[in-house]
Amino acid sequence: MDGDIYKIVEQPLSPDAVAASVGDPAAGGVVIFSGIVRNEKDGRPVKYLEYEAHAAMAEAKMREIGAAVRQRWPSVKAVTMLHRIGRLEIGESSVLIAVSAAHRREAFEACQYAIDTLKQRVPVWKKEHFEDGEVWVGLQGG
Amino acid sequence: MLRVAVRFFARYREATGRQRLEVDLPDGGTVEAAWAAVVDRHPELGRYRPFTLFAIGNDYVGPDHALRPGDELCLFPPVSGGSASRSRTARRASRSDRARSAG
Repeated sequence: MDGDIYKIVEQPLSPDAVAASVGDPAAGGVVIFSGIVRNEKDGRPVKYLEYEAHAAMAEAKMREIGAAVRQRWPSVKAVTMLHRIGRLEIGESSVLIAVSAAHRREAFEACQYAIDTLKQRVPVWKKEHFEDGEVWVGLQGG
Repeated sequence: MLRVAVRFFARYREATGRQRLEVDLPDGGTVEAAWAAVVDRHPELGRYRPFTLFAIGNDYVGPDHALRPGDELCLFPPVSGGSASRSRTARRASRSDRARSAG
């Protein structure tokens, strides 16, 4: 558990590096979720995204999610959660979550729980930049 | 009297043009009272009240939470994945942190 990693970063994310970070000889599977910047929102072309976080709290909340994962799926061997902030281009990864576990089922379930909970609780916001404007996601009608 | 710092993020930072603001409240002032003091200075935020999340330190807090001197109150728009019901996400977030600190 001490080896788990929960960080807000400004550099590009590497799936290979996060996969390696959860390596464990007792793990039979590693599941990685990578959230990618998409080129459209409701049919409107997106130019790029900007992410902002309360970094200290975001890392603390990701650590809590990791602790909950370990409580719920005791066969989980290691967890890494990284969220990138700053300007991200189409196709780049904004969030990477890797979970290793003794068996694949636990790894899949734990990874899905981790990303779903991150979306609800971790203080990160994104701003979508379009050809003709920009909008913070999460508040509509503004 | 109680002086607390308020931090703005994302849309709120852009709307107010600032990252921080200090507000003075009566002793025992709550998060809700701090929100009212902020809206007094920045009325443009008033309409966002139902969607706003509050945090102190690394934990979400509810509007009734009593502030202490030196607290830094963070005002958050809903987090980026929040979809269908934004205010429900806000209530769930603050409720579960309260439950954890009570336990």
